[in-house]
Amino acid sequence: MKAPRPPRFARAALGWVLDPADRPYALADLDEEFETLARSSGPGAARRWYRRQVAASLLPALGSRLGRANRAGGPGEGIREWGRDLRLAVRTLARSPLTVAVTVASLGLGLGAVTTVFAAAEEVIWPSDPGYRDADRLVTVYTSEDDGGPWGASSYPDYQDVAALPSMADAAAATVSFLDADLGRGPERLIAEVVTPNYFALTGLRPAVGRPLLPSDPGESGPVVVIAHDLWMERFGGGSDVVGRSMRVDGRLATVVGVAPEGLGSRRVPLVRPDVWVPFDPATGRVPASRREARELVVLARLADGATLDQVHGQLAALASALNAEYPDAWLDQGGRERRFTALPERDSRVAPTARAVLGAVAGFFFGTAGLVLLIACANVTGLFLVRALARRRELAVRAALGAGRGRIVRLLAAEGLVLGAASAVVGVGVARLMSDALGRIAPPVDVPLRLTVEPGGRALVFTAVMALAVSLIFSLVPAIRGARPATGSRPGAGAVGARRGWRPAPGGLLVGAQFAAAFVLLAGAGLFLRSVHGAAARDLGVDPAGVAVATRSAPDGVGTDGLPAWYADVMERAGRGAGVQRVALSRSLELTLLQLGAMATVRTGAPDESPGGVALFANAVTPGYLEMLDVDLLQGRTIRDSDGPDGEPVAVVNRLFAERFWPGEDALGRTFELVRRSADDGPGATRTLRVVGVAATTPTVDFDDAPAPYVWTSLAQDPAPTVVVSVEGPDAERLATDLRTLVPPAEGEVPVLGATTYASQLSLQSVHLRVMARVLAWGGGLGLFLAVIGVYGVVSFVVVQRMREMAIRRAVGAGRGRVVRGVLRRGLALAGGGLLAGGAVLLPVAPLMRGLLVDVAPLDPLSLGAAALLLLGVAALASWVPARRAVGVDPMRVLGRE
Amino acid sequence: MPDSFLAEFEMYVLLSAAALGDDAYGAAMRRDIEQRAGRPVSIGALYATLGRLDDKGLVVLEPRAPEEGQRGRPRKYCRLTPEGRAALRHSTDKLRVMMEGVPWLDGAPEVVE
Repeated sequence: MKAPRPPRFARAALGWVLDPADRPYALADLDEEFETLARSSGPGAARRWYRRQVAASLLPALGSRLGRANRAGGPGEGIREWGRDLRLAVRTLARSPLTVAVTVASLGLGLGAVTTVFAAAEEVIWPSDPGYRDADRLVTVYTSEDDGGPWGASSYPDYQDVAALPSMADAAAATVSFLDADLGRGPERLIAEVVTPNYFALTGLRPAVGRPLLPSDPGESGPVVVIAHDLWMERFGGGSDVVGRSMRVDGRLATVVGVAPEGLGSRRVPLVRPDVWVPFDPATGRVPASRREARELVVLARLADGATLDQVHGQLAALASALNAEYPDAWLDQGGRERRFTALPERDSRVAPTARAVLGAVAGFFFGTAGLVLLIACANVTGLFLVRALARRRELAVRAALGAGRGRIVRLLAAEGLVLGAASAVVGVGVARLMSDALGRIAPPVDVPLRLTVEPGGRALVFTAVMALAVSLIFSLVPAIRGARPATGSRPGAGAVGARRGWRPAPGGLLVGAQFAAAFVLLAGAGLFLRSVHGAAARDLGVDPAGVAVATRSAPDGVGTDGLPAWYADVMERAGRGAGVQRVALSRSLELTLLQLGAMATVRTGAPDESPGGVALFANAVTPGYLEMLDVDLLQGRTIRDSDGPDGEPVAVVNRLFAERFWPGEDALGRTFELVRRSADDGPGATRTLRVVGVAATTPTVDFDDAPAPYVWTSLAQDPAPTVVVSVEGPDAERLATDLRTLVPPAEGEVPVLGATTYASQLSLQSVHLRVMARVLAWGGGLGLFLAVIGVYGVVSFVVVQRMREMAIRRAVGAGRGRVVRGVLRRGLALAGGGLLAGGAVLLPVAPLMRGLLVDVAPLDPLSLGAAALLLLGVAALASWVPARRAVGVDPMRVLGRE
Repeated sequence: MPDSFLAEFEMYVLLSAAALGDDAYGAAMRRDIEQRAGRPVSIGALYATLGRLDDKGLVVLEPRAPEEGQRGRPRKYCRLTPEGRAALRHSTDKLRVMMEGVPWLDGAPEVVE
């Protein structure tokens, strides 16, 4: 359910046309009435009312503005002249409804596509101002990451040290966490930003209602929470009585003390809007408060009065070297380098620099696709207008003969372009709206309540308008300049040129070729990604997900490390009760899924060329039977056994790459190495020396794009973790997943990262980006195809009409219908074929750049390219055949008689 | 003395502003005209007319920052100037005079079931 808010589009459109002096008041008036109506008649009725209001207001508002501009003098005469031209343009266009329909539909689709992408990318390009007080005195402080990248998160003790620097007036820290809550509709998962209680004081953010979190929170009265504006609207109806209500959060009753300002996003994870803000409480242990290697916080600091950014940099550098000296375990990174702090002004850090690069690449891909669609649309319309300009030479010549100057004719054509551009912009905004809704519905296939909200706002509308203006000027002025030049020289009675010159290239031919080239690129790309999806599905993963259901579970509060073995046994016993269960196993992570990320470890083998920080890799810890369940291919030695318990010698099974990397050319069995756990769940410096008891062929990776890497399995009994994956195997994985939910319910206060599901469905998530790309390109290609069909149809139709007389003569002297139709078809296919060649020339150097994204498909895969080419040729033939049939359907004598 | 008559909608807007007195701002006037006159009124048309009346000096428009209880929404209040009162008086007087020539327009609104 959405908060009852006025339709954003309609609101922005109205704001656009209103006189700036009236704008805030008129919009506020409508908002007020909307709210009253939403309460009395429901949000749907209120929205309909709002849209009607806007529709009825556009003309009066525009009229009033133009009227005022006219009365104000100055450009009055110019405006009136333009007004005349615009009225004339509308009348002219009304005489060719088909041209108008094709233009508006083509440009509308193209503009809609780029507007959607723009709206989606807007938050990345211009992150909205969170409204902090004195924001230019705020900096974000990052700790460098394991790989040396500067933009990493910080630990709580490090944050405290940063806050204590003399150049800092104060500092707050935040991280994002999920928590289970009950707002009266049963348990649900909310996104929480866990912040140090001074977060609101530091930023000066004022709540919409109630009070912010205070440095004294949580006080004597128990847990408190500030809720998001959206949540307030959706669940509490926007009433001010929300303050003081209580909601169950992580099993405890918390009091709602306030509502965050509207639209406040997460400081830690860009583009995410938290549902609640809860004060960081060292007692609850949601954030490890004492461990310097547990880096989960983003630090926002306010400079002390008079302090400069240079001073901050200097003091941070000094603090970093002190910490490196004192805590080398936590402060040396993977490469053995000393970590460092980096401070960035708040304005530049709203979207973290690391995220910016990734999101920028994604946005680039979408912009490229949408841009090609717009290009096709543009070529379409330009072609149409070139043809139209030729057909209108007679009219333009008459106008010129009557004394219209060239400037006047160009202005007339430009006015037509503007009218069409405006209409296309309106359609484009509607299309963008539909596309944005569709985007919002692509829920991420993860069991996490992330919401992607794409709402084209005012800036997107301006963007559409500018694009529409630019595009319409191009397609109207290019033919206008070409059309206006020779027009004065032509005799008014000359008719359309080109009619007597035989197979001269049609004016739009080049443009249609360009369209086919662009459509070919899009469709071939869609084919490549579709084939990659299949490639990913067919790939031998080295593990067999058949019949396996999985879920994550965490030990309840109070089960310490000593209690874990008993809890493991209890979980396994309960999971084993499911009908048809043949095997149960526990593990720290799950191969080839995102759950692997928690199993980071560092390995030191003592090899002479090893970096001091060791080698980072993934290390799973498993119970006996787990490797058998996944059909891991064992080359040497044995797997994990019951005897590998807490008291036995710590053992490990490694993969072949591990053995070859650390002991090249030697037998790995019986060798020992050190393993250091790094995740926040593990105690500090959890170092164990492990003996290799088995070597497996399998190389599980996190992602298809990753290179094969060394991998380790340890015994869970010797390498315990409080959060484990429960796997059960049986004939019916779906059924087992259902049983898991009831037999091993999540513990009180536990946040299951993964609800019970099948392993196979988790594996398919690995290729989800391929499917999204295939779908986007297929949509773009489909749109491009549609537009290209219109283009080729238009050009061939034009040529057919121009050559009606010639064809009639041919028929009259005995050429068969088939021969004439074939001649036209050939022409259509030649246009398409030329386009395909051009598209191929583009693909040849571009496609290999995608190699990294494709799975088991060559970038110039003949099947993908061939299918796209055939499809395009087929539709080109069809689009030419229709006008050709129509042409030969006319009696030759009638055509000739008309002359 | 006003040299021209008020347009119908201008008259409605002035009548509503006069009736609402100190409470005459955009949303209230829009609602008032819609409810009492029974005709749909768009906010755009209302502001366009207000702007015209302002240009003619018949009303004074006074923007005010949001006050307590308005949830951050500013309002633009509308007050009749002496010229505005005179114009309204003039137009309605003449209307009344003209109505007197029509016997079945007896002053009471026609009730349509």
